[in-house]
Amino acid sequence: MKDRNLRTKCIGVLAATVISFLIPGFTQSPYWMHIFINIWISIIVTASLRFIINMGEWSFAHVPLMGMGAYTSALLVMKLGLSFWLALPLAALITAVISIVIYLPCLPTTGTFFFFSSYAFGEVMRLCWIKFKDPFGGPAGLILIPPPNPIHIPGFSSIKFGYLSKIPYYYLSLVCMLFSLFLLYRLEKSRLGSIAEAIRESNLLSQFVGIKVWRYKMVILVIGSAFAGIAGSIYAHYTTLIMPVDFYWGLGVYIIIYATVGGTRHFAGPIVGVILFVFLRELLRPIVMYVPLVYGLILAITLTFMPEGLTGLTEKFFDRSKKGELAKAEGTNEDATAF
Amino acid sequence: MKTQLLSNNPILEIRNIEKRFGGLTVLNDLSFNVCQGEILGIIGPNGAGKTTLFDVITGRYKPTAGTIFFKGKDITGLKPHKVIEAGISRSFQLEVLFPNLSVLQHLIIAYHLHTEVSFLGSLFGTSRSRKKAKATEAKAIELMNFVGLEDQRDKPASNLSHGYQRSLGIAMALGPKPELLLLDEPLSALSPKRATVILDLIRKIRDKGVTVMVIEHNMGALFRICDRVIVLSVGRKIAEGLPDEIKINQEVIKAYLGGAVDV
Repeated sequence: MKDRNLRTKCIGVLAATVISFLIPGFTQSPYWMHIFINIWISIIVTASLRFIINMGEWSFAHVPLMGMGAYTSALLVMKLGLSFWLALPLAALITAVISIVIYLPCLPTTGTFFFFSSYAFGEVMRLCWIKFKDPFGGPAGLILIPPPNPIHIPGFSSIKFGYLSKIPYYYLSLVCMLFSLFLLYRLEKSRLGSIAEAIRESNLLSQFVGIKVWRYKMVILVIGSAFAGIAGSIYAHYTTLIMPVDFYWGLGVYIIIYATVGGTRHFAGPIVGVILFVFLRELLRPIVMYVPLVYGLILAITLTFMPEGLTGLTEKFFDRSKKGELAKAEGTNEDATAF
Repeated sequence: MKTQLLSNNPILEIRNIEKRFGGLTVLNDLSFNVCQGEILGIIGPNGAGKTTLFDVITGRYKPTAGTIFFKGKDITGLKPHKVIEAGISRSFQLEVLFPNLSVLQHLIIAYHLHTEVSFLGSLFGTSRSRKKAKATEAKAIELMNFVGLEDQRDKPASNLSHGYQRSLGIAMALGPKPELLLLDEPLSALSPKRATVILDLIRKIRDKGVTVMVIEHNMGALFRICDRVIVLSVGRKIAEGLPDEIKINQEVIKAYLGGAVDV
């Protein structure tokens, strides 16, 4: 039963991966390519945020940290003349280091207080980009960020990134997303994942089975932030201009809405959420000023009727028959052991 | 005195412990020994400082003054995870569990301290780390059978009946392989039948060589299993001795029946 479930899951993931690789074969219109690149980048951000949420703390500094990745990568390329391919992992690394500074003062707090203190420190970072014109470019941000360097594969023509073709960007973001999802999935299934779950379920009991709660919380926050850095780096070199306002708190709210509506308890939750909302935004183009209203309504409905999100809903649907059996077994069990 | 025979080999020594919350003195100049391999009962009226004593021993609170020695080493004011590494673990008065995790997942996490897994190994699921995960699971199942939760294996903790939750709470404390186990009211709100099961479990734990300290209000049950009893009242030790001695101690009767206690 479990094996069959696993096999269908594997086939599903494989099929989705193949389809996502084949999409440029069907359409190469810049409009669709742009939407998909957007989706892939958003999935990296949202999935890494869910990795943090899994530990029980909701971070509002995630989007500013993505911005940090974007700024770091852009500055490394523009000021130091590094290749994008070196700047990408460096951006992830530097974002991870900066996230230690950001989260250190937030760590003694939990719940709502963590949420708001992380918002405050994220905002401080964003205001630094506005304030310090010299490296960060002030409110106008950085412009003319060079696209990634071309890749030379012997025997083929070299792959050039540029304004004309979005397809290299499509594959870049897709590969980075798949790589990030793979790592995040493995991390969640590793011991770190079960420790994160324990901390989420009960901070107190975790301490008293010997988990160093503080240290593990920090490790999880830093790993999550590194992925935000990757997303930021790709974003910067794709849009070629970044401004502090790109990473304002509203985007953080959207990311949280994606994750919540998709369902934070399930690994696929953020993926479902992002795809749904990006397409929804395209559908709502004619009434763009009402987008926040619609998002808010969807969030309210989700929280009221399916607090586990869309993926939680499917799980409930599939498990119904199984649960019925279980309830029956439980019933007999209770009788036997009634005290 | 018979009590002196037992205190030859103390595993835990509490020396002049004092704990104040602001102006309120919860533990006041408290000293006693816990002997290797005994079941020590701690009784006292509500607000006597029993749970605070456990909190101070396990590092949840730092004592205002005094020292605690465990196996001759000073463990005063260490962080909870350090205290657990040293070999002291505790259960909680109210059910503190991971509500959405299954019984087996609980116990695997409780064994967390004893599984040395390399980070990269567990990240990429190498055969060595998988073997280790299997071994951890086997140990968790062994513990599950020990406390009698084998039928509840995959149920989330929030769906367990109260008695099973209590067993699971004790099992969680056993996970890190303690030498000294602190149980905070393990029998409260249990039916007599389930209480006997837990009492048997406590004896079984002691027979495995673990020293046990029990806080309990159910005197009848406590006197049946304890080797020694300590009575606290308003943060002070007012009596210490064998269960039979405590039963007839005038101070104790006064504290419980509301006689004037001089503080």
